[in-house]
Amino acid sequence: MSCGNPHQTPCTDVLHALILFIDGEIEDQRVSHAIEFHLSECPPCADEQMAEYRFRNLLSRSCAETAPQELRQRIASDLAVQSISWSQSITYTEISTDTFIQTHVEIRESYEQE
Amino acid sequence: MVTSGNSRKVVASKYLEWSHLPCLPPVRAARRNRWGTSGNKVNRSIVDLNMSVKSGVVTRAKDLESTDSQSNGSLEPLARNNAIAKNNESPTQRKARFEKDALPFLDALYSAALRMTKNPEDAQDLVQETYAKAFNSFHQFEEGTNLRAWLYRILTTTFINIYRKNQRQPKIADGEIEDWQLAKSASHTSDQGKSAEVEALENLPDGDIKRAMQSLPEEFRLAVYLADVEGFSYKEISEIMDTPSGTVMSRLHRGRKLLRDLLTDYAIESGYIKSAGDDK
Repeated sequence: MSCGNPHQTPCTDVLHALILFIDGEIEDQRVSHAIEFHLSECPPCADEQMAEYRFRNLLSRSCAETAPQELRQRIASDLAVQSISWSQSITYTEISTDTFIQTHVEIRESYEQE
Repeated sequence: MVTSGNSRKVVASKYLEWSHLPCLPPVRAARRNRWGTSGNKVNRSIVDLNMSVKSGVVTRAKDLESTDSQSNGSLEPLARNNAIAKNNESPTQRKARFEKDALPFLDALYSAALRMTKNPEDAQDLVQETYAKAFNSFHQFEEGTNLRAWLYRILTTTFINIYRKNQRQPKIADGEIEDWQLAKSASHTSDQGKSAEVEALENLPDGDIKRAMQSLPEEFRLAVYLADVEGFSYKEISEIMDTPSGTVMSRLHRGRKLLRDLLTDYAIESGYIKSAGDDK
C-alpha cells in the first residue's frame, strides 16, 4: 500500500531503509535527506516511523527500573574500601662532621578514607 | 645550618601512594630497604614500610631507592618525585570523579542487568561487580570517551563471564541478515496503519512487555535492549557485545521481529487486538 502519490523516492525504498534511518545508521546525507523529505510528504510512511518511535518508547517505559537503595549502599561501601589511600613521606637528614653525626628521620603517614 | 667541607646531607623525600583494592594480586612480602648509604660510617638506616588494611588482608611494602647526594659538598636537598603515582589524581579525587560521572548510570545499568539476569538478586550482584571493576580500571578510562558504552561493555562482559556459565543456553545461529528479510517488511502492511497496532500494544501492562523481553534468546534481547531502549549505535553495540556489526544487525532484526510477534500475541490474548478470526 502507498499513499498513491508519486514520490521522488518510492515508498518501498524508504521502508527498506526506514529502520536504518531511525537507528541513525545512514551515513550518506543525501539518502537521509531524501528519506526525511519523503516522510514529510507521505503519511503512511510517516506513520510507520511514528509507530517505531512509539514502540521504542513503550519498551523504554516498561524496562525502566530504579536501583534499590541496598545496591546503592553496597556500591558506596565498595568504593569507600577501594579508595582508601595511604601515603607516607620520609625525610632523612644527616649531618656528619669529623666529630659528630646527626641524623634526623621524619616519617609522615596518612590514611585517607571518606 | 653549619656544615664543614666533608659533611653530607642526604635528604630524600618520597611520596608514595597507592590504593588498596580488594582484588589485588597476592601481597608481596615486606622488604627491607637500605636507606641513605653514604660515606664511611654506619650511615644506614633500615626502614620497613608496610601496612595492613582490614586485618592483614592487604599488606604492602614498597621499596624506596636510596637517594644519595651525588657530589660532595652539594647541600641541595635532593627530592625525587619518581615514586609519585603516574596519575596525579589521588584515590579520593578519582572516587569523586567516578561518583560524579559513573554513578548517574546506576538505574540504567540496573535495568539492563535485570533484563540480562532476569532476577533482582543477580542483577544487584552484577551491577555491584560492574561498578567495582569499572572503578578499579577507571584510571585507564580516557576522559571524554564514551563512558556509558564503556560501562555497558563491562556489564555485558561480566554478565557473560559470570552468569551465563551457570545458565546454559542453546546457542542460536546468527547468520547475516538476508536481503529478503528486509524486503519482506518493505511494504505498508495494514490498512489501519502501524501506529494503530502499536497503540494496542501500549495497553499491555509493563509486566507483559518485560515477560516478552525475557523470553527472547539472550543475544537478541541484549541487542534489542541496547538499541531500542538505550539508543546505542550499531558500532557501540558491536563493541559492547564484542560481535561484528553484521551480527548486531541480524540479531536486532530478528529480535525486534520476535518481540513484536510475541507482544502481538499477548495483545490478542488480552483482547486489545482482535485476532483475524474475530473479524469475520
